[in-house]
Amino acid sequence: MGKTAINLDSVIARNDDIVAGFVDADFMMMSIETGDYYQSNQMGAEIWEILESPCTVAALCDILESRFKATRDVVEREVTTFISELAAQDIIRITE
Amino acid sequence: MSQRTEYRHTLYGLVVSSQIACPQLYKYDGNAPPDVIIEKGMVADIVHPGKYRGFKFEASEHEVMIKTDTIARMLISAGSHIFIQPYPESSDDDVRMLLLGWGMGALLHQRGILPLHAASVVPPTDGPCMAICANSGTGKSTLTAAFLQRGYRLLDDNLSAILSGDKISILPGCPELKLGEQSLELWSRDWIREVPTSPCRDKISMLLPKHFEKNAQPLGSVFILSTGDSLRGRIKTLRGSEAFFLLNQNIFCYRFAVGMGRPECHFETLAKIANRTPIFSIELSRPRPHPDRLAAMIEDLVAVNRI
Repeated sequence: MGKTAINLDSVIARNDDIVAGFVDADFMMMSIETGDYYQSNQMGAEIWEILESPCTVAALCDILESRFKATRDVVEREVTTFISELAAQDIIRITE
Repeated sequence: MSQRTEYRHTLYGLVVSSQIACPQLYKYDGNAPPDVIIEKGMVADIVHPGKYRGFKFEASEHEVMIKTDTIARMLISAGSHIFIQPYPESSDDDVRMLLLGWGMGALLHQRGILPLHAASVVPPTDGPCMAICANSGTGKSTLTAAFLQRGYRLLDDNLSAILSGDKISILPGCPELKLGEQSLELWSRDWIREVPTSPCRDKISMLLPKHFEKNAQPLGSVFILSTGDSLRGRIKTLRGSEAFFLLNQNIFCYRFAVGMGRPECHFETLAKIANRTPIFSIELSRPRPHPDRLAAMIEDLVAVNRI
């Protein structure tokens, strides 16, 4: 899977062609465009909720740092990797 | 509709007016205007430019055009019309199979009703119904026959139409069961001898109006059958994404929904079913259990899980 390079100043937003919801404890997302399904973990669900409004990667990290009680460098590393993968699948979009 | 013989039926909660005779469908004697009109006649090669091209079909937002090699050309439009042009060499059975299979499958997608490739039956206790998903050849119809012999009523043998609202319900389909010759040999009891039968392609069609459930029923459980290679079968309770994905694989003609650009219309229904309904996968042993034994096993599962 290819990865899209992003940085902390990148502004990210939901792809409007994705519908999402919980099935039991699993967070599912589906592309209206292709009919493909994706399954994500709790962090994916939290990121999707936060991205109801577009925000920068840095702002996203701020929120997740407080929710998950992890160190800042761990959060930034995990979030940027995860966001890159979501962007590569066109689940989220990088707007700036 | 042009001046031809009109046959009126109810199917999946819809009043259907058809120029194609489908004697297996439940007859409608009321005066309500039809929800669906089926017309027989010429179907233009491309009525509207197809946005999406798939296996033997093309689709745009509100239409699906199906073109098979030997049976018919069919246009399903806006969830309310089916235009069908049978080829001269096709048989009536083949035309009905296509119409009531792919044709109705596409129409249900257009109407936002989820079609599952499943048989569905209602227990004699009038409890919630169960849906039995399985690929063709796995033994779905044979198992359905076993349940009917236990006093269950039939909603449909092949396509279970799911209506999602406050509750999840299965709509009454067609009072017909199709069994292979080998499956018929399993049954020597009287009820099967009393049922009118007729050959239908490589199977025997049985019309079962006395065993048919005419009203929508709440969905209580889903069983997904598959063939196995082991002497030992396996039963598994499905949850979360595993349940979701397996259900998705059993959507009837899912490619039509994708082609019309509306795969998301079933996302919520699938999630609701996976969240609310007990779902089990049953990998059958090889050789397969007798359908009576399989039906008894499923009844035990329902009882143990208090469904």
